[in-house]
Amino acid sequence: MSETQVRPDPVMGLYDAPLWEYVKQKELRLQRCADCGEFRYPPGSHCPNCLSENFEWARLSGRGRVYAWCVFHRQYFPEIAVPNPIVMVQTEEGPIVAANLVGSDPSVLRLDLPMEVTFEPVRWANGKEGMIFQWRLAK
Amino acid sequence: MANDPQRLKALSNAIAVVGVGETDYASDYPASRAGKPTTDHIGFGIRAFKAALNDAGLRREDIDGVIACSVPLGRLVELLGIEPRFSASSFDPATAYMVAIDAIRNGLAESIALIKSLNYRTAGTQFGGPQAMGADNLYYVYYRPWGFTSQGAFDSVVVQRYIELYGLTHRQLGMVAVAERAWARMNPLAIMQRPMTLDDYLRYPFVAEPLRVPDYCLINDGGTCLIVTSVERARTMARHPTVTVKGLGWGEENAAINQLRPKLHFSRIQMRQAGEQCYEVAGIGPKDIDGFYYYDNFTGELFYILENYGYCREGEAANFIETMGIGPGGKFPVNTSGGMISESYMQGWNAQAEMVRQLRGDAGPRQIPNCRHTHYISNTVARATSMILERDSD
Repeated sequence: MSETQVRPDPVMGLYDAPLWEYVKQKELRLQRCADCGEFRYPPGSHCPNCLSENFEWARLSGRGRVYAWCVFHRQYFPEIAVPNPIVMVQTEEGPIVAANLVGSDPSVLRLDLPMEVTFEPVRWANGKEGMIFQWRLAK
Repeated sequence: MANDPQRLKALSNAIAVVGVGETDYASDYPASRAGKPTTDHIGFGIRAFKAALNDAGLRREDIDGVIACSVPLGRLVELLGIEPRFSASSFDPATAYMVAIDAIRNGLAESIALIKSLNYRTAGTQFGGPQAMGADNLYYVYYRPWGFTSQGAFDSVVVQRYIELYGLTHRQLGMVAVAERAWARMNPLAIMQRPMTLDDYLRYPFVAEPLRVPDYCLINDGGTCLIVTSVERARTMARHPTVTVKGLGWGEENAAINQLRPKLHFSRIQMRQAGEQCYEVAGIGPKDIDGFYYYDNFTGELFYILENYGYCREGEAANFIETMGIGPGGKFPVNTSGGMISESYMQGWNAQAEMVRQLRGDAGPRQIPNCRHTHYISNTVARATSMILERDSD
């Protein structure tokens, strides 16, 4: 890809920035409660299991299985071409993480198909450079 | 806390719907599409209110409570020109009924106008894309870096999972939109009047595959008003057969809603809770229902809704729909006004008006024979509500 793809900015609440800093380093990390070990995603203030505010950014294996998907045929964002496949992957650690399917046609998708995370350079709509995580078929 | 069946039972037959009014969705639609609406959202609400008063045979002075749904309460009541003893804001029909039951039973008001109105078409309200509304749900906007916004897409992933697990075909999915369109064509208020066969349906493009254009609800302007009062008072009015709120149910599942986890499990926990409570309060169940109504922002939900509310077993809804027939002439009529996909996007309120018409026997060519009980359900990402309306026995 010669030109860096442009993408709508991520939501940036008080707890969101570290996730994207790790993604820039090609690591997928999610918030995990430092007291009871429960993952939470999207990032937020409290553990819904024990109401603790203590957490760490735990690195995921980057592997999971297809849980659901859809394919956009109508274009909603000028910077994102269609067809645009979305795949929701149940990670090995538990959380369901949505991203685009890259590297394959969506007709290959089946429930429980093994997937792995991959990272692509991106320019956010606000002009900043970064990385975005995506799903591809596991090798 | 476990629920207390005895206290819950007091919800049953506490209030009755004595007046129904709607704006003319079909004739207002072209004007709103052209950006020249015939009135604003306050105006649509008041038009519906006047129609409901007329239907009930009541005067404006008889109304001493107002519940505003989606429309700003203060401005609405100002232009209604009344000084209610009780007023509140609400959104969905079940919640509004619950508030009305409390107010009427506790003597805070005697006759309450529930007014729903909106102007999403004129306002250009966006449910997906760069201007998607955030509302209370983070997921409406959270997945935008991947282009994953819009409630239709959030339903499409669920329907795709249902297709994979239970073998639903695109043709079977299309039965819902086709049936609702057939009903709409018997309803002069309905916006979508063009005939649609299953083959026509299958020729429409996908928006978010597996959902196509006709699987999506309309976006239009309009208003719906219901006037409710105590059952005792309603029975003395004698203008129409008395239609009571017989059962109400509520269920929630909030764990990991922003990963869409409850939806991806077909909302089975929340819907079963709402159904059990509603049937318990009403003292009747699926076998007693003559007309079924659901919040059809997208058609695909109907399959697992019917399973979760006990009309058929898990994975058997397509077969149930095919066997029974949900359109005109079918044994299991669903959304007989055309619903939100073919009549009007009044967010469940046009279904309320239609249920009352059916229960009174006033539904003209689309009348369900001997319609005594109707069931309405609404399902959002974390919350299911269920209600049963009943016509008094003669």
